Amino acid sequence: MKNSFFQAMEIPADMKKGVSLLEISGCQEIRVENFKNICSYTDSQIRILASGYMIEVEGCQLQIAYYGENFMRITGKICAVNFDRR
Amino acid sequence: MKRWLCGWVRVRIGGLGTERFLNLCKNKGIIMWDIVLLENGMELSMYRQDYDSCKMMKEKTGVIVDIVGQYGLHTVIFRYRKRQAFMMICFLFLCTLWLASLHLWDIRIENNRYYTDDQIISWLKEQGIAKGIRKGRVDCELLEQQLRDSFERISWSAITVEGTVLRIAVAENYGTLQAVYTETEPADLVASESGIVESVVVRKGISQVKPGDTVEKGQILISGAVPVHDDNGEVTAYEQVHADGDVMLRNSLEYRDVLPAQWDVKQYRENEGSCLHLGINGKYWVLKSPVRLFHDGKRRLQGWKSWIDRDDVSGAVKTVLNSKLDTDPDRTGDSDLDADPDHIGNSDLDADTKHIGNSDLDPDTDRIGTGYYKWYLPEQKLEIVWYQEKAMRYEIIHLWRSEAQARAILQKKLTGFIKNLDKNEIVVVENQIRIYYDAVGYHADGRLMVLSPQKAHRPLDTTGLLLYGHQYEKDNEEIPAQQE
Repeated sequence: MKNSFFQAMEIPADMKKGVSLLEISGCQEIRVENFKNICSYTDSQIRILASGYMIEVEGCQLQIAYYGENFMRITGKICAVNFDRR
Repeated sequence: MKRWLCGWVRVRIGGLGTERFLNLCKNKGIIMWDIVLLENGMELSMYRQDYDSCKMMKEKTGVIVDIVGQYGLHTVIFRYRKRQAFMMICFLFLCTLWLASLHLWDIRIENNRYYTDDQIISWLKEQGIAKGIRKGRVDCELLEQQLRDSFERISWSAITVEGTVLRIAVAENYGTLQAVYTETEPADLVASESGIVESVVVRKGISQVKPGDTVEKGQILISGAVPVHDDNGEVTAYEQVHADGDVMLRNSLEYRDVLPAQWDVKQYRENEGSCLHLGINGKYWVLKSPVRLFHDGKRRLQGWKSWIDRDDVSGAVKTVLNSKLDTDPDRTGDSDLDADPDHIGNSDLDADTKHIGNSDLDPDTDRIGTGYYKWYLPEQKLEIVWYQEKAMRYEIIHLWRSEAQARAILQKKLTGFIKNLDKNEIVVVENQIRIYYDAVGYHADGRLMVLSPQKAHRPLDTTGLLLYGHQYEKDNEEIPAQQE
């Protein structure tokens, strides 16, 4: 119902409440908005809990350059971004 | 900048619940950055004020938090807490900077061609706007309106305060009003001097003279009152026009020039000296002089030539010195040019004088300095100029001109005079000038026959004339009366 309403009104997906917004700049920086918290943090994988799914950022020399209430920024050599729906 | 002003701390977190600690901090609105993983924990930065509020999360998650370093303004203040004078100077500097930023320190005017900067700045002073006033006293919108009202040719203006600069941009309408005025004003073309009419070409108006006529100064050559004839050939009215045409008058010009047979040459010696000057707000002092009496009460001693090297300084210094020194009556009367007014273009200058260069011919243009400093206080100005002047001793030698040299000089002057006439569209048709020698010197004497174009206009005298427009209106008024 909710999705069909947004489709009918042609509202962009990032306007939906709770939907995470990922902005990837090349393979060295990723900016994540609308997330809940960090589940695990290693230099090869960072798992971020969003609403209804998990975002897994994989790579090497990963580092959280900024961690705030509204968004976080991850830098390093990013290889993959996976979504784990459970 | 915000981080530096608020201050931040670098902390090291150890233990098992580091991710939970991060999440709790995030939920409390604590911002963290540069989170780096270590072997047994991580390091991150946070604001100094947030560090105190994360103690509860530290106890909740059981992590160990240690401060690695502190950065920002508070650490600088803490470091220099015992150097009170230094801190006071820094504080005073910041206060002065802040106070200075509240005032206007420069006024820049753009796109003005008709009105000069000085005109607009003096008008601003009348409105109470000058360098040094508080920015809060400037009402830009009101000033724009007043500027457009006060200056007729300014059709648009924009006044903005950018930092400590008042920027005034204007748009002017160039000469439109003047062109309309000259085209429509009824006028006669009159003779600006006496002479014989050589040719007449009329474009607008009625010719009052013909070739061969002798005219006096002020006589009408082309009349701006054009008669309007009826079917019987009688003049019913006069139409007013701006008389236009080409009228050439032949007349003679007297030319007389004298060149003394003897002239003085300055022979320079090899020994040089330098003179150091200091000027503050237009007053100048001599700090160092090659001889004790080089600068007497008149600032110049006979027998010395001084000049300044052009390559030494910037254009700003040159401008200031030119404006300051050239107005000084003691300095403008340089003896080189006064003593020998005819030596321009001479080939018999002494070889020793050639290394003086341009300064020998035009000393005023070489008045440049070596340093310039300008400082403005509210309504006050401090301008400091310092420069070095070189000096060389000379002796005056009296020489006699040969006839060929004198003739060349006089002929050159005559050619320059004729060129000036040519610039004013005056054509020389006959040259009756002869060059001769007597006890006084060499003379160039005689008359030049010239053809000069007449361009002077005089407003049309309409006294006693029945004008064309008035007659027409009169006819219209009479028609309804006859119908009745």
